[in-house]
Amino acid sequence: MPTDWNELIEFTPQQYKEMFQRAVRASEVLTTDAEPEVGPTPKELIWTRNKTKLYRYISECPKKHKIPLLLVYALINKPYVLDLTKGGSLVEYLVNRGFDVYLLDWGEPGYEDRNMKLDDYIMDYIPRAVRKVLRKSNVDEVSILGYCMGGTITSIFAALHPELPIRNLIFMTSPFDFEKTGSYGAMLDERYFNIDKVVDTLGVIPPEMIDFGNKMINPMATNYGPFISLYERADNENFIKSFKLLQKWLNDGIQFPGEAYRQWIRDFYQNNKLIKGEMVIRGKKVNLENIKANVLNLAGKNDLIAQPHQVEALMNAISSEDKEYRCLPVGHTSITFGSQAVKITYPTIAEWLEERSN
Amino acid sequence: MNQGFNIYDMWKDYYSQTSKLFDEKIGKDFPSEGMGQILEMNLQFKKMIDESTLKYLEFMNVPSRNDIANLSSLIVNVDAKVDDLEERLEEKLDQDRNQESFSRELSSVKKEMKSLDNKLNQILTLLKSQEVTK
Repeated sequence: MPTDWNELIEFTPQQYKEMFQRAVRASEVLTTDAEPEVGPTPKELIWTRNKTKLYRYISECPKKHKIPLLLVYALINKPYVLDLTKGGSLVEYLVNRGFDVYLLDWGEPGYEDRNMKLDDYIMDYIPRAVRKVLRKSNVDEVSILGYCMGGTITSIFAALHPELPIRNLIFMTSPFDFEKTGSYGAMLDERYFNIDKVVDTLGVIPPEMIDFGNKMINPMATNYGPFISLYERADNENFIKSFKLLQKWLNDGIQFPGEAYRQWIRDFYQNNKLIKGEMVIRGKKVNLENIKANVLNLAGKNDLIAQPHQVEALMNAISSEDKEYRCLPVGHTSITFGSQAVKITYPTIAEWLEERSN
Repeated sequence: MNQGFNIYDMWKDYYSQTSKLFDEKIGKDFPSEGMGQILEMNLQFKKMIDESTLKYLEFMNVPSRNDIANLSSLIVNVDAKVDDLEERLEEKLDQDRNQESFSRELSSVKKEMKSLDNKLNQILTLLKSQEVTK
């Protein structure tokens, strides 16, 4: 049958022939193509606790910088977006520039983890990972890079653990002020969004629900936009490669522990406690003024998930002397993957860090 | 066939305009109440299904998701305890290492003191013997 179609299409004008070929290729991508491989940079497992794993990246490139870098990712997706593919990986770039890079992977929480709170991650997991990094690299100080929500919880961790030797902090599209969150604020309005009922009924929040919420910010553009682009650029194999990688990551979400979700929505989105200085983690008040490390705070100009004003708000709340805020011409995902990330984000991070890592 | 006429391009123009309008409308006037009602309805349904499944599994003497999760959290607790023990052990080893290097330093200081003491004694005996010869 396809042969008949091919024969038939031979008699149509060139533009229809191209349209047909693009449609065939796009349907192959969506139905029969193999999933792309992700996380190409070799790594070794350093430590595990529950589902959390701490990895250290291995490289033949000599280590040029004394201070190691720990990457802390959000609780809602898999962290391989930081190491998506060869030539399009923040991890690979940093390793090749001589950094000793570690990654804290939260793993996939199960139903048994429904009672895990942000307190547990901030007080039990991150400090332990930092101590492991210090011990493994045999150094006195560490740098931490937090991406998205990972940056928000890193800021709380840094504020609550002044005893730990953190020299540099990099926040990448991490929201700190939740006063004006646009559609998120409307979606999570406590008059209509009963967070207690959601958590008590579901236990753990399915990734589909979080994905749906994110897509509702710009429903047509995020739900259908990528597929229309796929059809239009199906003759471009580079585009197809990027499309498959991003779709794999977007559709590979993880469950969110219920109690942590309750805190994330109530304390951050509904009550904006962090920036107001009202956040309490395991009985301790979080005062962002306690952050004295060098800070690089990166926002994405086109980011709808962590809007630039939400990210910039941190700058007045911390007491670091060496602090810098930059708004890059990227979005929430394109800050770590894609041509703009390779051209702008990676060198920005590496250059800032190089000056402060010896 | 007219080469300038392209149904897809027409549709694309129409789609771009309508989707932009739709997204702008959602951004400006988010249907919070409607979404809340749909969520509420889904949660109600989920709760009902969960409760009836639980009763059925109980009746059939089959472990439920809660039972398995409880067992898993026991394992997680053991894992956390082992991890805490590991950290304590690492801290102890670090302390021991520090202690070891401290005692090594102390014994080298002792040795140096002893040799200084010997030298001083030698100087003193020499001085005394010089005084006697005078």
